[in-house]
Amino acid sequence: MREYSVEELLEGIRQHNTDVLKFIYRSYYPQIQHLVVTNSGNDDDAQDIYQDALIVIYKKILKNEIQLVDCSFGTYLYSICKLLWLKQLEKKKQNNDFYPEDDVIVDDNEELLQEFEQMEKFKLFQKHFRSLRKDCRKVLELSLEKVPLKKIAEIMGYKSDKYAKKRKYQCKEKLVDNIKKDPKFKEFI
Amino acid sequence: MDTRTIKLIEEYLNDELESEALKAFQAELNENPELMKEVKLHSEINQAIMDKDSQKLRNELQAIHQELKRKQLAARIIKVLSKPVYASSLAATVLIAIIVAGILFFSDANTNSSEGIFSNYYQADDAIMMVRSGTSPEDINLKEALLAYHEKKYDNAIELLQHQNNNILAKYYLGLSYLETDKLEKAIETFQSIIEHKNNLFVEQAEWYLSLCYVKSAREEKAKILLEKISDSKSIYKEKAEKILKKI
Repeated sequence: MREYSVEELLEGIRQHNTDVLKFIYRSYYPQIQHLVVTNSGNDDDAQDIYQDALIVIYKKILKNEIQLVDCSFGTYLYSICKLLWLKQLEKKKQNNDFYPEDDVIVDDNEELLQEFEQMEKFKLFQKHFRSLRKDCRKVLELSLEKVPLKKIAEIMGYKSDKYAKKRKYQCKEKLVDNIKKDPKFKEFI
Repeated sequence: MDTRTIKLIEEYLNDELESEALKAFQAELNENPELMKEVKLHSEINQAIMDKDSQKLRNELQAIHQELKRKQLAARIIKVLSKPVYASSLAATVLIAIIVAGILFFSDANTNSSEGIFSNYYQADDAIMMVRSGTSPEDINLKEALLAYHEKKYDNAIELLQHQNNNILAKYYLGLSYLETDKLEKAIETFQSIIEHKNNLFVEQAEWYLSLCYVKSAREEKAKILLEKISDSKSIYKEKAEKILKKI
């Protein structure tokens, strides 16, 4: 298995490079799994946290905000996972004696947690979006991509652009309703 | 939230409001924190819908997780089964068959839904290793072939498996590899020979995949007859066969 430099790893994540993603998984996932499983979590939690952490990192890479000062990628990933898992436990209000130790070296914890919070929210929204009917998803995507209504009507086989507009609002309304009805939504207000 | 407000919010977010309407809406927004919240929510939902890259990355990570986990499992099973105590004993063969059946059953329980009957019901079978620890060239070949199958190198697998004439397990994975590479005629032939052989543990599986070959190659009559047979039997594919029958 070849080794990668930190720069290569970050670039690999940015490009969704499968080899790099596999390398990261093989090299660092076991520790993270151990961390979560030995602190009131199970395998699924570990996997969620691992994915969440990588996506937080991914978003930071896209925004050019990543700074790895004097620490390896593994340490960075591990400390983010730890931070996020801690936050999850706090949310679940579980009693635990798992506190971040001094070795949490991520310097912008607040920012990371905000990103995490937003990601959780997006996950919920995306889940409800995926459960919409196919035509609804398509109409919403097209209009967010700024495709003109006339063209949308054409693609979807609607009679008129007026109907396309109506359909768009109906779908959005349905989506917003479903999201608001989800008990998890309250966590975000 | 009434439809009219939703329409306003969307138009506002899309920069579609004209001067007067825009001013009115902004004024309303300043005074009405509820409306403000609503606008924020709508805007975030839009962002989430458009955040396809992260969703894609998450799916990719998920796939890697599953793939590598399965490989570990396979490696572990090979290890267990390679222990001398099991070597060439009948008990090992039976145990292996049970493991295979269990894994087949389990992997089928997770069928992903997608479009088309074939893709709906066909799922690549995980080759979990169960090779007796022999050192004859044939045994080594089989082990390599199953690894190749597992790594989705189906052409390699075919290459190695097609000479293993008397081994039903080899035949089974040969059939699956043909199916994966769209060599339907050969797949059909191979599954048929497993069924004709009768005394083996892969008849149910072979019947099922043969029926999918028929579906895929649009031989509806043949597919129907076989699926009816499966749905009348106690096959683990009974329910799936019934479902397909309703669709064709």
